[in-house]
Amino acid sequence: MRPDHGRPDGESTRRGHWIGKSATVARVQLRRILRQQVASPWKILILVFLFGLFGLFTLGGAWLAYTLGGALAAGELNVSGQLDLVRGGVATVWVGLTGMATVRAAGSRGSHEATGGLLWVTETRVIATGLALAEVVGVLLWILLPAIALSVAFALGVGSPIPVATVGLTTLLVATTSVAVGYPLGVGVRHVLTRFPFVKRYRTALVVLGFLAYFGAISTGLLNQVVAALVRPLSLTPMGWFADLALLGTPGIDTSPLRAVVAVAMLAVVVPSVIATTRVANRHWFADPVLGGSGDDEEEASQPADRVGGPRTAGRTGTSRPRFERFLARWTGRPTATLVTGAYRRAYRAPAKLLYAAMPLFFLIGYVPDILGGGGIPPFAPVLLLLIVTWGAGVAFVLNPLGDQGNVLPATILSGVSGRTFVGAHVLASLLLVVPLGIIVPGAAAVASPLDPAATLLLLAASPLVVTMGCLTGVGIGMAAPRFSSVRVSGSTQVVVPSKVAFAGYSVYLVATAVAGLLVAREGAREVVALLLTALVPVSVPARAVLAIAGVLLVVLLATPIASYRYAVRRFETVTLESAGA
Amino acid sequence: MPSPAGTDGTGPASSGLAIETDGLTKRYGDVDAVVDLDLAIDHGQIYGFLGPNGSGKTTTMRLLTTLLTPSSGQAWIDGVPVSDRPRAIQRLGYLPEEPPIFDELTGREQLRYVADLSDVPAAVADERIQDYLERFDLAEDADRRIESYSKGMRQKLGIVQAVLDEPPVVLLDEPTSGLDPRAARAVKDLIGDLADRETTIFLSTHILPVVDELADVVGVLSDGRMVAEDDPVELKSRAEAGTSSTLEDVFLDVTATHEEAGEESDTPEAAAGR
Repeated sequence: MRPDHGRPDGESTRRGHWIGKSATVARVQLRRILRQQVASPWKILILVFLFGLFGLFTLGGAWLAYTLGGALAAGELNVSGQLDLVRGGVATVWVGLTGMATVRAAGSRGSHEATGGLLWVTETRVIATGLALAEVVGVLLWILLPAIALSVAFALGVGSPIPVATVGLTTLLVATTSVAVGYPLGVGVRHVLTRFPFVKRYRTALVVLGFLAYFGAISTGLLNQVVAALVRPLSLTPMGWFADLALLGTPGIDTSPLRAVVAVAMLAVVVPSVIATTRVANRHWFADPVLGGSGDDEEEASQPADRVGGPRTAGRTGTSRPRFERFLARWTGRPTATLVTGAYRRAYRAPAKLLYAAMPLFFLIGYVPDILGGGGIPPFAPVLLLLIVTWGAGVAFVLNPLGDQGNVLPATILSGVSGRTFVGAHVLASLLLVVPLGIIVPGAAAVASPLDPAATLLLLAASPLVVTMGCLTGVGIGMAAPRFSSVRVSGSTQVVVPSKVAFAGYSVYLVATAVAGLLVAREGAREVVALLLTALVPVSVPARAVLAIAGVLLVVLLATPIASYRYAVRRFETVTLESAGA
Repeated sequence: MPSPAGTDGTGPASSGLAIETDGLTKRYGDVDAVVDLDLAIDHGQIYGFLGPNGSGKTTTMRLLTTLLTPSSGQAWIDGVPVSDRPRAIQRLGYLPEEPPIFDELTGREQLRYVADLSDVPAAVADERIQDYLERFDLAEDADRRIESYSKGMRQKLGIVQAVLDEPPVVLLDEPTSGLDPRAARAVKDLIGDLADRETTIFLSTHILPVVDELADVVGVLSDGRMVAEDDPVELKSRAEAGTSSTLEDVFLDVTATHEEAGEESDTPEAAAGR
């Protein structure tokens, strides 16, 4: 007779406990997230900043709620006519939270990785529901305390304790129902993004397009218009009726008890949500992977590790080298050509990194309507574009040459490649692409701007020099402060980007050089700075002193690229894995 | 969408073996990962599963652990079809090549988590966890975060969580990978103990002496197909008739023979004859 292996055979045991086990999954998931959040001083600092910001808003909101409550109690305020607006506002918040839950689930929270690879231990329903439950608690961690603080202030103002209970209950219901709808939706979106061959193939382009559309909608004010247009229709939906529940029993407000009851009954959405979440998770987590796509964090976990494993490179096979590499090798030698094409290949296969290089453009998008509305391109725009192109050149290829090597770094160090070759190749990779861009983009802007022809020609002539100087400085900064760990760009895309120190150092260098150049070139700018300094320090600062300081600074900054390049070469030749921080 | 033949559990019934497959096949597009695999492994057996890199071993293990859906054919774990995931997973423990563990948890927290999900009563779980931690020299580090663990420690933790709830069937993918000789010995002893308690071990590894020492039956997979299956002594004695005398020689012989046959069948003459 076979021994009893100690496992319960009956399904009833499992069914009886699945909610408790989901709670265990949620608890462990929250513990992991919390430990990830406090894993480094930087992350703690960001958390403290965010909590401070939330605290400030909560304090301001609490004061406003107290004042409103007081005005209501005194009969100085009649909000009954505005109740639809409140309903629309609450419904908009619900839609926003649902959208956030969808995006998070479509990212890492609904991934195979989030299951911890333990789908062989327990039912899909247990893990999927547990992960969704963790999301509910995560939302509540952010919104419950502020909501209670606001409701207490409002209750004090209005002179009734009821809002504390009703607002608290409403917050719980809003968080639960929004995640209940958003989580399965997000896992479904993730399934489409990662398991449909066509979508997977063009996912990066689609994500970039979506990102640009989002920023475009924000910067042009379209998003605000859409939200404003949705408030009224949303106030008519059951999501708006959470406002009736929150304000139920508040003196002076004519809420609908029936709508409040319906709002509570919306909790029933949890039942179909558990069914939908389990089904979509079953479909997604156990689906065959799409082969030949770009890197995906969960592919490692879920795809077959045998012959059909890892992503494949279409096209070239065997010993043939790209035509460009052969062409370049004729001029630079094979090691340099190999390093240059290697840098391009990495950029091409991890295009998310290029999003970082284009980051300043996102900030610029907000000014586009103003520029277009102003009837022309302002004279500072070409110089600004040149700075942005130089910044992007640094980020893309020279600001993290050691980190970009990843696991290959030991082989590169031991390959016999000299420091000059290694550093020169990264600078060359950047210049080959960015010098033409640095001439065309600022040049086109200069031609369209009111800059005189002499200034335009000067800018065109200076562009290659500026980009080269930027890259030479950047490579030294990047070699001094490499980064090997990856950051999560989106839910499923991780990429190795330059370190914060490198980003900051390079940005400061470019801005300082531009400001010093401006002060040397423009008397008006010197006078403004002299006035500012005189106001700040006890002695009078003449414009001539500003010129002298800016001149010395400019000379130092202009000499920096050569020193930086030499440092980078020496650093590579003496680098060890320990000193690189790998 | 209809299930692949038999995988919905409506096909022929299992004969009650620990692991059983009938024509198990997994295809990805036009690539055959596992082809027509028939396994019949009895309770308490240690089954050594060998094969070159990319031969389909990991895919087979994922099919048996319900993590992949077969394209066709059937598989049962302890008499339960793998298509019945909730019941099948109650009968198996699994150590994948990369141990599935959360870096942010401590070793003890990870094991308690798996025990909780597997319905092991808390008191029993705590006792077993402590026993295993001591057995694998992990007790002192049990309350440290896993992110600080070495590869070997992670591997040991993965093995413990695979056997923690004493399942009747345990599938181990490269269990001794990354382990020092002492830890490897502890794993081999554990496998022996489990087999003594009638637990079936499905052991995939490239370390042939481990299979030679432990396995009751050895199966060799090549290009997704089973090319040899027998007990190790029999395999070696058969091979001794030729030039082989160790399991390594047998492995090299049967996989090379299979590859040559595959190459021949791909020649224009062979293609014309098909």
